[in-house]
Amino acid sequence: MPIDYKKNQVLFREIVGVEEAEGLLEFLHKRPAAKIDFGGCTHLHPANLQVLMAAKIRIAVWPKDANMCFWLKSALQPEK
Amino acid sequence: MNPLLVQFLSEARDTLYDIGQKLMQLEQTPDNADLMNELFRPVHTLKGNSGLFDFPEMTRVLHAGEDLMVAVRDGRVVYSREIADCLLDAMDFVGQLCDEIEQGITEVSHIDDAVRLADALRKLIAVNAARTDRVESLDNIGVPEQPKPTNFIKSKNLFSLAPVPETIRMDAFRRILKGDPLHRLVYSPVEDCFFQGDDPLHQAQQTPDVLWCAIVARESWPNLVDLDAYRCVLVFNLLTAAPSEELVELYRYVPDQVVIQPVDPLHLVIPTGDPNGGPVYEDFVAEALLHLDGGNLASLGRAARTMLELSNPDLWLSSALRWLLLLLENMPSNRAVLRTLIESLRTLTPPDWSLTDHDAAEPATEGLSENVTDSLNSLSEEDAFERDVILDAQRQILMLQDQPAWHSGRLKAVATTLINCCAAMGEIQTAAEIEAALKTGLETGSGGLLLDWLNARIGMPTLRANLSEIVQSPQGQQQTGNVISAFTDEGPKFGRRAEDQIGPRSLKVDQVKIDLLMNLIGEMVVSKNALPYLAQRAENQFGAREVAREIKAQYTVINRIVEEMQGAIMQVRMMPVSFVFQRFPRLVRDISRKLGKEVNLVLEGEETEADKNIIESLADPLIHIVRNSLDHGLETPEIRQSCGKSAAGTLIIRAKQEADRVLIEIIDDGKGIDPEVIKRKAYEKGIIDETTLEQISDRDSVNLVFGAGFSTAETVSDLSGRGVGMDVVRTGVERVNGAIQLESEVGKGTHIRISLPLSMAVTKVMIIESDGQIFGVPMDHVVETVRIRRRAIHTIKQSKTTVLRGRIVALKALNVLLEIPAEPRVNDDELAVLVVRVGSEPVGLIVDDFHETVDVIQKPLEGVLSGLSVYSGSALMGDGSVLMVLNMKEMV
Amino acid sequence: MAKTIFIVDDSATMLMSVKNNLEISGFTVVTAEDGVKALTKLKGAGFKPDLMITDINMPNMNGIELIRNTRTLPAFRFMPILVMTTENQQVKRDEAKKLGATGWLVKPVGGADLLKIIKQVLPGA
Repeated sequence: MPIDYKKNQVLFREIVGVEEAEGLLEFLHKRPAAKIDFGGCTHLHPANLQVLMAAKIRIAVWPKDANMCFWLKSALQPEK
Repeated sequence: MNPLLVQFLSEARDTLYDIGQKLMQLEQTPDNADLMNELFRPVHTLKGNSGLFDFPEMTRVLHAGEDLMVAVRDGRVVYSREIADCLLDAMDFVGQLCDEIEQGITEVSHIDDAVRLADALRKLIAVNAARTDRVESLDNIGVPEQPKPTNFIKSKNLFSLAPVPETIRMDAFRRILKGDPLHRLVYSPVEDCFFQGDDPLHQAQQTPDVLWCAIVARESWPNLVDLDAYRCVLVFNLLTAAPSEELVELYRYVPDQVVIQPVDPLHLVIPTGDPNGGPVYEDFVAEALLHLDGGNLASLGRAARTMLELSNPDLWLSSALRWLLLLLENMPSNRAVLRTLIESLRTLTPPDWSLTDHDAAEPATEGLSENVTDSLNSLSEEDAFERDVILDAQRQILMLQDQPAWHSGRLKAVATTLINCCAAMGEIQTAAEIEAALKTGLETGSGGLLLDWLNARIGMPTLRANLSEIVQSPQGQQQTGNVISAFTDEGPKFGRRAEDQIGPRSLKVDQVKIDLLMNLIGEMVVSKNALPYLAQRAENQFGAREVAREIKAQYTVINRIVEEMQGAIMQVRMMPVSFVFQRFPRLVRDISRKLGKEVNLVLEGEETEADKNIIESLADPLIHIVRNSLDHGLETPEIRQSCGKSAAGTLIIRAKQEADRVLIEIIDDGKGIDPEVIKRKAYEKGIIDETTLEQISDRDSVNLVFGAGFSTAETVSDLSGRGVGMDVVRTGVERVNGAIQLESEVGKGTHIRISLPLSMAVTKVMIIESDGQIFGVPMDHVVETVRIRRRAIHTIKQSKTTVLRGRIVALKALNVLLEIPAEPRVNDDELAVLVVRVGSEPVGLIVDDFHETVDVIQKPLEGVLSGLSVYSGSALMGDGSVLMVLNMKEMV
Repeated sequence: MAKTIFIVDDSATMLMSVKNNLEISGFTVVTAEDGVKALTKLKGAGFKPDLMITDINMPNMNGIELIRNTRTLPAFRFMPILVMTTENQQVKRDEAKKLGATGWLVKPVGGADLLKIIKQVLPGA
């Protein structure tokens, strides 16, 4: 499974496809405090990104993949 | 040959056939839009496929053909016989190329033919479009479409660069001055883009050379309950150093969702940071301006550096000073810019570069590109883009291939646009060149020169190749005529059945493999037949009766399997007569048009099947008969009408299966054959003698046309005559054990019947013996076997005869016919006579003895033996001996 | 895991060419000869290609209709779809895009270009 749902954490692995967005949305709705671990994530479909942005999710681990990290930070870590 | 090429050639053949069929159907119903579309498809497919290989000649012709079909389909050109002719020629040409490719002939160039055919096709688009007087749209004339330009916005800033970290902005600033293209790019995917399979993040990530990015939402995020994850509200703001062409190419699928804007370097100069209680730097500002006005830039730099060292780097002031130093270093001559930046320290508000933009930025740019004098290259990127759009539009107009009444107006408009465009770029001197090209263009009615000029101008040498297709050659039409007459009588040789489909249910198998199977099963039959001999030996020689019985039992089983196997293989070899019939619509159409006759061709029973060899042997005789019918049988519309017939003649070609034979009928309602004329002609040519001339029935006399050297045509026409007559047809049919018969009624028409065996793989022969040798006689010819007393044989005029059932039968000794120096063997005063029928009269063959009949696989004689016409072939017997099969037609 | 690409074209030659190119690049390739056959395969259980590439001009059901029908199947709402066109079919491309195509290819497409385009629309390819 590309997404591993823990008690209060969401783990993204490899490629997280568009179909996952609904499940993710449902989970984050129930667990608003959940953090995300992008460690093994190489790509995610932006439908998921939208959910994460709307949920103002807190990041536990940024992706190991530098390119992916750059792009995710441009969405989830607005420069202040 | 590589498998892809093999597949291509096989498909190309099927497709060409399909195209030919549809063209002819379309002639019957020219308004059938569905059919038109169905015709477009195979042409389109073939063109697309040819592009997979390096066959420029083929692709060129198909491309022109496709464009013509598009014009026809879209109603810009009216379908006509002329168009059909031209397309059929083109397809013949393609067929010929396919044949050559298959045979590995690569050295022959057909570029002239290709150009001529393509010209002819394109001319039809132009001529017809002018005739129908329609306005054509760009997408329909085969000019490659340009992608819709991505939005370029020059004036209004797409997004503020302030959030971009200063280090990145400074880096960007330096890169612009170095000459790198720097762009703001805003990608706002449409809301339902996920449902088009888009992944905007993946798309944005592929943007090259991204310096900075911000992914934001177009609207504020709702509560999660109300969020629709699949409605895309993301916006991607990017700062990239990629050239605009690369960006346009990358975002080609979503041009309407992207805006690209070149970055003015000054727009990066935005001091940011902590205002630290407000503007308190008036002293510094005054000193700095003093240095600036006094032209003392070194002192200005020193002052700024000192100030910077004393200040907290996070201050707004420090940021402004860093920028000041950067500007001093990179554009020291631009006083206005330096002044604006210094003065911003009075208010701690970022300078409004839009006010200084054109006064300030341009001298700076000039300083950077002093050496650039070519006006084309010194245009800003947006201007250059717009210029390219204008020039390209002109080029497309010039490449329009129609010849409307307003053609000269169009040329003038293009020339004016080009002159104005050049003038705007400061190239007044080129106006003369353009005017000269226009003048020639108006005189010749061709935009070729203007196009040439334009192509040279925008550096598109590859487009010149197209020019030769577009510029119309006056000989084009005339040369096309030659192609029609060059139509070869063979027609394309179709390697496979058109009905075959690639798919799990049917396989395309190489004929060689089937032939191999056929040979193997033949050998199997022979080997199997050795078993009864073995059983006999076991019993007679070794007295092993039990073993003999077992061998016989095994033989029965093997025999059954072999027979079934043989049947199955025969089934594989069966092919429908449509294989031969399919070429007739085209043949009949071409010939009847050439002769000025109107013919309705009716094909029936195309699905009737027979062995591959039989079907193949049918082709030539049938073509000959059809040519004859068209040439001599059917009359011209005028003559037909004067006889009270319909103007269009009918030609029916029908196939059906009757028992174990295939019956092919060719029926026309033409003028028929006059038996009197035939009789006299046959007599004149010495084919019949005087007695026959008087006695022969009408029915028999019309069949004299099959006699050797008989030709009724007064002059040898290039269609059916060719100096050979129907005897060739008869020979062809008889070669595969077929029979042909003709019936005709003067004024009503002619009816030819060809009867063929379903398969020629297995022949039933009767074995006869003469002078200790055995021979085979095909059972098709055997009427009966009789034993005749010597005294019942009479000699009339040196020929032996006897009377059988009240009928005189000529007798011939096999030994004499085969030049065997031996007398027939006499048993109990009786001679063995095999009565055979070849043609209408039975003949008695005197042999030594009769044996059993057997099924054999006949093989044609090869090498030196092939000259022995008395034998039709040889067959291997079960005991390993060779049986020579007699050719009855040659012998009696 | 190898991505599965579904190619629909009525020309066996074109199918063979594209299939060869893709298989060399490590994709799993499934083919169909027209829109009707393609739709039947898409509706079949367990078939979930990552990308569909379809020709436009085909008998029985053309590419445009195939795209329209494919997008009505819930499993393929988001699948990237590329249409194969010739250079002068802008109108068809727009029509296909409007009905849910992701992008297009221009025939004949060589191995390198094909791969580049697929990588553009298929993350992880």
